[in-house]
Amino acid sequence: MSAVVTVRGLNVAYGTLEVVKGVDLDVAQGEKVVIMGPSGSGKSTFLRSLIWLVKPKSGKIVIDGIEVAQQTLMDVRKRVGFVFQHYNLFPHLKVIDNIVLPLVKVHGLPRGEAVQRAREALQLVGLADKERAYPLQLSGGQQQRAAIARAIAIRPKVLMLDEPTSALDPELVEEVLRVLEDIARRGTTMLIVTHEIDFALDVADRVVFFEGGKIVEEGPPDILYNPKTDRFRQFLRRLHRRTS
Amino acid sequence: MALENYFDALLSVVGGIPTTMALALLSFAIGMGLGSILLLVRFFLPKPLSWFASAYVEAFRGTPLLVQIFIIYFGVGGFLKDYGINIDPFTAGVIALGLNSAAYQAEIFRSAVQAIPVEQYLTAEAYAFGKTQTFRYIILPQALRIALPALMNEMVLLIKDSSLVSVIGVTPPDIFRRADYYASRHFTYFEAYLAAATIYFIICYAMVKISHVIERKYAIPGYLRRGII
Repeated sequence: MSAVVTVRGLNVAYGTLEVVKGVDLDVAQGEKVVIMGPSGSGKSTFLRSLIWLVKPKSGKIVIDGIEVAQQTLMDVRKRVGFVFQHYNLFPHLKVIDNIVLPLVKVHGLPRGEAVQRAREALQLVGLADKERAYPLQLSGGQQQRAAIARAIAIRPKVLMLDEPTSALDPELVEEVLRVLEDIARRGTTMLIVTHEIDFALDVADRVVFFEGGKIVEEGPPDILYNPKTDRFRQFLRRLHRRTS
Repeated sequence: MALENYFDALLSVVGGIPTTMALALLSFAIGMGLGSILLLVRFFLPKPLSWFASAYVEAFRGTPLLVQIFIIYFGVGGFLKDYGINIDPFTAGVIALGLNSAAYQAEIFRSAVQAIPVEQYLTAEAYAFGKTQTFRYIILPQALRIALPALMNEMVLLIKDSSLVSVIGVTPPDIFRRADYYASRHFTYFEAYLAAATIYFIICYAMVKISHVIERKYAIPGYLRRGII
């Protein structure tokens, strides 16, 4: 299996505050990697820095064979589908136009083809009947599914999701996770920051635990039952206490 | 005060509406054109150039409109007269009002653009939109909606402020100048100026109502707003 994402010695800082400290990570073709960690551990910053939404201080990132640099940035971003915690749909555009806009303006698809692809994506996330709705007319779960549709419609080489369910009411989390499980089964390479343990157990090929800007522990989902480090064990215990 | 004098003054002052509206609409258009350019300079161009735009805004916000009108008509107009170019009071008035409005409209646009959450820019970046595309397809459509009430307010201010141009003797006379004529001809100051106030009020009130209709028409569906009348 070839690596879709390769990260070597990544450092990210906000001013003098170091947030990501020398992280190495490989994500293979079709692999689903779940990133966990306490808030402030740098996991979201790490994900965002992979496509330079936060520009790293140093280190090397290769996505789909292209090293991320100023000249290649747009090319790299076209190959990544990014889903934000707060959905970030464009509120002035109908759901379908949220998906069509990047396809037409960035990927250069003819409008008809873009609409076709957008409809397929909406079908997949179960929002076929909402294409004419505006984002703010939808529930949080529907908005996040629409945002996922926008991400998969560009047929990304890797799908990056930054806490896709943590802004949602508990009863809406399930519908989003189910959609993500469907997408995972289709073989999409995924890099997901989440605290959903059951989802990680079902879907992840590998779990990565972040703390203090570093990867403290990583391994197959089994490590969620048998964490090796005290840090991870503590973190999981706290997570269990909160959810049960 | 005699009621018939008031109505008589009203009939006379009404004739100033075309000039007043022409002053307001033309200067609004100039203000929008120049205000947009100032916004684009601040949005797209490097710091030193955007400082020029800010300096322009501060210069026009920090000085009285009446002084600006005098500088344009007597100052610049007088200077150009030496070169055989004549600027009539109407043109000078439109230019002064337009330059002044540009400063305010630039501020309206700036605050509207700044009101858009950073996350929208971030999302545009993540999806590989260029800076121009981001502005054109994501920022501008949202910013215009945010700016709409303030822009309509600026229009109302221009209608009222256009009365200042009457002091340089704009022809054909605007609402205020006609009221002035009427008052000095009939010695009915109260009726004449009250008639002018009435006309200004009706126009401005109508503009406010129209603006509410436009705001509602272009409101983003699902965007919850508190109903403030």
